[in-house]
Amino acid sequence: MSDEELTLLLMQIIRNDGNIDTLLDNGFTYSSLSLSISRLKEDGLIEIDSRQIQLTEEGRRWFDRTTRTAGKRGIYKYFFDSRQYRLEERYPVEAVYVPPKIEGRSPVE
Amino acid sequence: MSEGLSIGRFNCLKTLFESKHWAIDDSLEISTFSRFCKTLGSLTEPQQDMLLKISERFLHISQKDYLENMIEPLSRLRKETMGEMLFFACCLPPEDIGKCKSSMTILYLLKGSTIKTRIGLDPYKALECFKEETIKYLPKNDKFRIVLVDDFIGSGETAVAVAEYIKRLAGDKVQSSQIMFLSIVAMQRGVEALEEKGYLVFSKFICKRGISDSYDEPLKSQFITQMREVESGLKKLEDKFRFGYQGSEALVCMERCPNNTFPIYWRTKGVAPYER
Repeated sequence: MSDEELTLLLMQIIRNDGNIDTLLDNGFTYSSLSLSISRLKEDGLIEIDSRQIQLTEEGRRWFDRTTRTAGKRGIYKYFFDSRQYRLEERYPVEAVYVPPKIEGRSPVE
Repeated sequence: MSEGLSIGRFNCLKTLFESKHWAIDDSLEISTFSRFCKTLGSLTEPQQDMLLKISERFLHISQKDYLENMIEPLSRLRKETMGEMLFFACCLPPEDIGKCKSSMTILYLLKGSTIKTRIGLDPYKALECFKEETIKYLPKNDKFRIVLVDDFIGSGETAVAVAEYIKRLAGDKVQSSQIMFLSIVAMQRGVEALEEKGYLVFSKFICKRGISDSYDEPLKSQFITQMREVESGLKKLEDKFRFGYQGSEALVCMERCPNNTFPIYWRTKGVAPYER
């Protein structure tokens, strides 16, 4: 992911007070995440009030502008690609992918 | 059931670390910050909030800060014992003599010269440890004090045992009032246990129990219940360590983390924020 994509992902997570695991799976470390939060605050894109962290008005404008530039429109601006769920191998369009069996889950009746 | 860590709670931890000037760096072999995040992530959200809240009172004093934190209690001790000979010795029970213990760091600082640039200590002598043969070097008069040193005093159990051991060795040559304790951090309950026996304690920080003595109802009961739940998730935790050794409820880490501290801070190797 590019720096801008990572920042966008971070802004998405902040917007919803989401889980940081997604950020760690996509290249952040705990300390780089801490640093990025500080930078976003310095740039006026987020505000921290007591225990709450949220986008500022400027942050929301940046978010809308950047998602538009990235070609994410409508509901898709709230979705992102996660490395965690990407298949390493490329398959042809007509291929059928059967996910691995998850232990303990009973088959669909 | 763990719930992971939300960005809001991550930021609370970040703010806590910044306010306490603790390092946020995961490039090193041990990162307290990363481990704290992992520990929080293994808890439920109400448990995370409880741990974040009680951690606001957490005291971390690493070895580089020992000397600075010894000056104030040492000055008080010297003032109290004006002119008397002081014999400093490690607060070590006989079975621990020869082992590498934290009290040696304090004694070593007393043997060094830096401390003498900060405070007038004479007359004094730093002993390696207190053995049977030490008794014959004590002055014939009672114008001396034995000062047992350690970085941390927890329940006071060890400290009382060491003082009693010295009194047994010395017979009537040493009275309780001649035995004193010097530490950087001491738990209130440990200080009370020692003072009850007639021993004076000089410590830079005296800490109350982290939950039971620090919050009013209903928060206190709520935190106690949550901490019990947290500890029920710690594998192979012996009963004597629940809420810290003898229920000390310490929120302290020195160069090493004492077992008096709540085990969530040290029990799970490689995940808990502090090492012991």
